[in-house]
Amino acid sequence: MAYQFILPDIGEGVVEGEVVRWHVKPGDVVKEDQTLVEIMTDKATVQIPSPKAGKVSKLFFKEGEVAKVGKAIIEIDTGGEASAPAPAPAAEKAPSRAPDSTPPPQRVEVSRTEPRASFEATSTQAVAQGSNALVASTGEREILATPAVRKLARDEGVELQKVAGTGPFGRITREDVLRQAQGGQVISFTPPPQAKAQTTQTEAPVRENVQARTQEPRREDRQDHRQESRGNSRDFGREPVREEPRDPPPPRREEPRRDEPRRDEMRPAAQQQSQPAQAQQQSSQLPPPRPGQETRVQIRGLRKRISEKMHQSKSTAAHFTYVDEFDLTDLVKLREQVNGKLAAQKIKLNFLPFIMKACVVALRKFPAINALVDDARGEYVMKSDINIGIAVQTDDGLMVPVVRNVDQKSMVQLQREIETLSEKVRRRQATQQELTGGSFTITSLGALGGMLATPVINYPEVAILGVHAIKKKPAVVGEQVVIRDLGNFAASFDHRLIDGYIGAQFIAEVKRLLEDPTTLFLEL
Amino acid sequence: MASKARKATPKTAASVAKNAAVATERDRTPLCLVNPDGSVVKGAKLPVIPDADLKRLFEVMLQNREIDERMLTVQRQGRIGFYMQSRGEEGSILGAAYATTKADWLFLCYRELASLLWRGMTLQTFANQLFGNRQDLVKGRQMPCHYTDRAIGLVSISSPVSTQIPQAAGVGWAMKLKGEENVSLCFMGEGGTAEGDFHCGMNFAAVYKANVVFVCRNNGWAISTPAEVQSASETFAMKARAYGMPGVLVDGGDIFAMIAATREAVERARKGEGPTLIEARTYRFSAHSSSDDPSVYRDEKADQAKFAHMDPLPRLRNFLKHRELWSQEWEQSVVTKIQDQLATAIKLAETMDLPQTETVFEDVYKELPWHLREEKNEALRHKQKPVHGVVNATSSAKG
Repeated sequence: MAYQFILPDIGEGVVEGEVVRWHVKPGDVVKEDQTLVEIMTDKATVQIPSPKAGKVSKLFFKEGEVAKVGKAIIEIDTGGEASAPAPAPAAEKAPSRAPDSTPPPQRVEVSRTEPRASFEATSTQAVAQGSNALVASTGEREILATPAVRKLARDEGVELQKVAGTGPFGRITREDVLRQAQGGQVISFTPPPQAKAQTTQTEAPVRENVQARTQEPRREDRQDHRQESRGNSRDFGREPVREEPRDPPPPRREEPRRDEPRRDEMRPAAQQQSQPAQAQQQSSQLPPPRPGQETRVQIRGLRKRISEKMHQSKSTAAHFTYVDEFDLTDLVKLREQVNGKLAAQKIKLNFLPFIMKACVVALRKFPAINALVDDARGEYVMKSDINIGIAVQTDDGLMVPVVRNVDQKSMVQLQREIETLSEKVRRRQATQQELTGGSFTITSLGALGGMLATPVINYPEVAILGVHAIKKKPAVVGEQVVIRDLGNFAASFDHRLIDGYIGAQFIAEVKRLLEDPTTLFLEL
Repeated sequence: MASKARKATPKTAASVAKNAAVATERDRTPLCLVNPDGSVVKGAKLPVIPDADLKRLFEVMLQNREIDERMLTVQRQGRIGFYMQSRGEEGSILGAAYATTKADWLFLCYRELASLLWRGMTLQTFANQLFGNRQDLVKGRQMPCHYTDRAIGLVSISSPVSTQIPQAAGVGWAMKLKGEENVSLCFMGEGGTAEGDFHCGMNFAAVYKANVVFVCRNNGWAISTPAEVQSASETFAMKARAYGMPGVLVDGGDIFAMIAATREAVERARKGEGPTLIEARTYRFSAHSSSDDPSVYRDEKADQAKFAHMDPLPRLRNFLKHRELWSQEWEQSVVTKIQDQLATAIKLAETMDLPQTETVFEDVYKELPWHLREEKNEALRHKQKPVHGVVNATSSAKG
């Protein structure tokens, strides 16, 4: 029986060796452990003893030739041994190892099937496909990705199964995940059912708004580079669009311990019927849990960013909120007049452009407020451009698109831009450019606006203005109580940088301008 | 006093500095109780060792040597990935181990197989580790020769040089804090003394008078670096002085001297009097490891002859002959027996299945975190590659 001796790695990572001298020649009878050959590797010259007894039938290399580790170098006819019952072919005896005469394993060997029923079932397909397990069989693609990339994908709600890896051997890189996360192309928010297999990439642009602002200004440059592929988000992608996680988080203790508790109990029926886009809905949109149960949803995607940002803001900036009541009767009148004139152009100004313009004037007087804080470097960054973020509520959560150079635009332009941006954000089509670079933020609760809220600063900005509902209320004018249009304005400042006096002055300035809009026009 | 001082050679900074680095004659002379010819050194007091133990020590030395020879062959045949021999050092290692008990923790460098054999690690445990099979106590995760065995008080061996020294110091300190009388026995090579960990461990152990015995196996070579360029100290034992602990230079070819020195050190440690550094001066007759070729950096023939007297095996054999405890037949029977036992152990270890893939994910987390669960599932979806890296080799070694 022919036995081929394969050159082993004789020295921790040796890949080849030069045949220095054969101690045997074809026809020689060798004993077990008898020296066959001297091999010189880059580490050492060693003598190789024979693992078998028999007759040398063939030498595969001449002296002076270089043999690769894993290649057969000599063939020995083990003769009588073959008929002996003991040495059965290795493949039968120990299926986990390669048979004697097999050339060195390529990468994964078909023959190396482990006789273990436990995962036999799960891997049958891959095995059936044969030798190249790197590209395994139907559907389930094997994934090469580092733990850091897996973590990123998990945070972004990106399914690695659906990401094409561009790294060596198809490894999925950080960039691949980010590309997938930012969606490449924009797809409608609610995909048609047919789209289920190709997970729809919806975007959650605000996220980056929320986050990008935390980064020191110079990082924006780098982000801009990545823009070219037009996807917006760099670090953050869409809200997770996953009908079922490939690897759901472990059940918490208080949950009933069953094999598949999550899918049944945690996910509304709609999601199980492969409606991926809806799987991402906010917890508030999930149906209530059955009595006695609770619903647990991973905080991830946009919600996670918002959560992190809010926490960062509240735990970093020293918030103080200053509130004043504005008498906007004149502004209300002015707006009606203006809108009457604009009716022909089919555009209607709401209060926000006026408020933004008032802020422009006030921010010019108090440039300390049109600023960012760079805590990493301990620096306070005052901005020359006045770029005002406007908080917009979307189905997935809060987003803040930015209106740039507010001071250089007309009210009509501002109104148009606000509408366009809000719509884009709601459709998740806003670009990164449109979601970053703010220096001040206005949050307006519109008609719902209540009486008082304490806005959370869009960190690393240092101030935010909250606008509440404008309502008719009794007010004292002169010595009389009259009906006026009153609205509360609440502004939060980072007290680390903005003193109460400055903040109050700023609001007083905004108030002065809005209560007497003619001055606003004088000073613009 | 005052007049005496005036008469003496005036001290200068230069003379003090010069003297401080110089070893005394005492420093330079290794402790030796039995000569290479097996005769007892004049005036030497031998440690008390029962005859049965003497014979057993000789047996283990022989076994160690047979095992080393055999396993290197097996490595060359590609059946295991790596091996380290300890020829020439068995005596000093064995002597140190003999002076301790199984309750004393062992922290090894990697070349101390003799200590494991003495403590009773089975050949099967040994072979399973080398082949990294399913029964391997470290589940195929460590290189060959990086043993672990709780049953004999052995702490898992790690490849990074000298990491075991601070660990041994810490364990020795814990023993002291707990009021225990056992000690940790820590081996290192002379090359290991150049590591920062040596300093940390020695300093810590001395400051806290930890229950530790340090044994520095000075076999002359840190792979290809000769001991002369490893340290500017004349001896390695001298280094102990600066740490405030006794340092003893011992003839590592003399197992009696090694036993005597270690017993003293262990006694001190048990009494809470702190650590000792023993330098066992030996010669590494074999290559550093199966990956090393010493002929590249030393004159093998000349050196083997030059250092032959440092080989502990003939010395103990000669001593046993003097005592009429040795016979050729006995030695031959020991050799034959170990060869048979080893062949059986190797055969079993080699045919045993490799560790199951999922074991890779065990032993760190009680419950696997998500990323490892993902990896595990993917790994299981693949048809396995065996965990250990000797696939080609094992295939060729079948039958």
